[in-house]
Amino acid sequence: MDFGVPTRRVRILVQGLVFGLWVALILATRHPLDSWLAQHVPVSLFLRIDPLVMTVVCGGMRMAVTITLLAVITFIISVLLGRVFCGWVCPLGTLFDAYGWLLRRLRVPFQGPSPRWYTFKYYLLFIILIFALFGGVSPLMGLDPIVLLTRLAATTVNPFLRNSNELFWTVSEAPGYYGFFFDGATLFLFISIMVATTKLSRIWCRTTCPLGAYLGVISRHSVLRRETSGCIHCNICAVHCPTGAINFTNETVYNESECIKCFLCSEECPVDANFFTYKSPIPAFSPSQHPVTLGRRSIFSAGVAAIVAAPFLFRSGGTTTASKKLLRPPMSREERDFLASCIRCTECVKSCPTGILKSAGFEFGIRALWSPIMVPTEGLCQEGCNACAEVCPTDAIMKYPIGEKYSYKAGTAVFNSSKCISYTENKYCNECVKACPTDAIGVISGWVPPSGIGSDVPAPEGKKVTRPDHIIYERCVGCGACEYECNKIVFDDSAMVTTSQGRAVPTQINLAQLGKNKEGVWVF
Amino acid sequence: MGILDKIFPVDWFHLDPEYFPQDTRSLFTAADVLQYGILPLGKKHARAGEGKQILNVGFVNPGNKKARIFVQGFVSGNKEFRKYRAYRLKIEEFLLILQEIYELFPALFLQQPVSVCPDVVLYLEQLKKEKEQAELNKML
Repeated sequence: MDFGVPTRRVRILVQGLVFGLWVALILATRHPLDSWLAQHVPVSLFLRIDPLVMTVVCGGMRMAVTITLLAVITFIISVLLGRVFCGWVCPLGTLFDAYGWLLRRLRVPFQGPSPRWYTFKYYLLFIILIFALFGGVSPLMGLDPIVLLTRLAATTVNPFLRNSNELFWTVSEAPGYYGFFFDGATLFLFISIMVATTKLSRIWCRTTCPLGAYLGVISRHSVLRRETSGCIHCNICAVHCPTGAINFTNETVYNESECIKCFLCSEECPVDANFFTYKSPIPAFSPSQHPVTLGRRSIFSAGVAAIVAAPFLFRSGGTTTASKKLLRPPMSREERDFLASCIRCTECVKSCPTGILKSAGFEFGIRALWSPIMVPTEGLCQEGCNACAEVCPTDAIMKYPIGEKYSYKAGTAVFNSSKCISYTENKYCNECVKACPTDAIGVISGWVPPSGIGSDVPAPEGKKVTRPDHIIYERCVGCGACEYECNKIVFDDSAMVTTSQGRAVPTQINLAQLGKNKEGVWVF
Repeated sequence: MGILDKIFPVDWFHLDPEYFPQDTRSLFTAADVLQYGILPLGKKHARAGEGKQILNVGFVNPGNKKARIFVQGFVSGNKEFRKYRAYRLKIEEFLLILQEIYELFPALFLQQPVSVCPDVVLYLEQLKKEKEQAELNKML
């Protein structure tokens, strides 16, 4: 079966359409999720068809998380046809190809054989899978191309798109905040990748991409194989192969695990000697195929490093019990399960309309790196919004009916009267009380200024202002509204502090309330 | 140029006498090959289902206008081909093909009154000078 001539244009068209869909879905990932696209297509579609996400989350959770099972389709296609996903679907791959088009136009030489360390990605994958075996998502999962691009869009591009509602939060926040630094790190990583691509086409796919490695491993026995009968050894295909899958010294030899089925070799072959045909996957390796060979010593080293590092990282990881300051979005899974299922894509951060959700830095341990946290000094968890749960591609934040938002506590506020200006300066404020959506702040009635609004003028002598007194635990939902408002008055030294105390986690909730099989799992 | 058209620069074509395309070997006469520094390098179907094909032509110097005009004229006058695609050749490999496939030896054709591609002549002269210099160095 010859795919020779028309495939290049078809591939460019498909890549363009798929990339356009990815951009549209990223733009649609915002509260409220009421656009036509968001209502008809899952906004996290690309993450949900990522088989590495499926494997890591299901492995880490020790169960089949149903929401990720869409990736089975990609898995099966890869097993049968090879790394078609990399060549035709991956948005990062499309960016590389578009960048390559530009480089060719500028006559920049950037093609050639892969470096000897191209197997590095397999070791990375090995470490990620060992982490999953230990029940956790390694921060290395952030190197997955879909996760990386989504995080790039969410934490470096998105803040600039939100200026219309005065939410330049990532840009304007205090420099000491770790999340800000890591947003820059993602951007720096992306720029570094593009600079490296200037030297060698798809260098990320060749050397580092863990998803590419994963697809490479599962596609070793694909039935769509390259055939080179009549090869005249002109070296054109090897030069044009974007992933260096074709051997430079003998063009008839190629590496099936590295081939992304872009069919560029067929297109560029001057004599129609390169084509793809369906073959029996048995035997797996004919003389024309050059399998990836990994050093036993390197595999052993990577395995030992991961096994030693995993428990260490897990111990250093923050938990709700370890840190009351660690606030997860409402209806997040129990902390261990959350860290085992959150892939650090920051789709939730992207969708959050108020900017309360941030990407964590090292403040809660390496294990929690890039995971979403609520920072009430920066925003509040808005009433009538469940966007973070709706967009989460792995159900790390479980979906819940929007009307039942306040049935599930995200935490509880703590009131420190020694920092409240109603106590320290006897000035009327009451902003926290006004902001609380559930009337969870108990008040001691007293003097109120005639205007009825907060004032810099203290109460007349002998009188005490109306002031907050205590938090009604049963009513407080940990939305952070009180802290957010208080922080506007007493910057960075809020009298109201939201803690994770009493956070409702799905395991404690009667799941029947959420509907049938709402947990979305099959335990095995 | 359309946005989806190819924009690759001229590729180097590695020549090996053992795998030299046989089907187009005699398309150009030995005199043309020598004069323009060109080699026919096989053909390829332009589009699936289309009868016309693309002729691959190797150039010692792809910037040689005379050679380009000659090849363009040849392709236009030949119904078998829709267009040609240019490749760049290394002179050493070109000379090797001349000897092995076309049985044209530099020592012979330089002495005969035939028109030879200026790039090839220049290369051979340079080679000769280098040899003489090397011999001189040996003697010294």
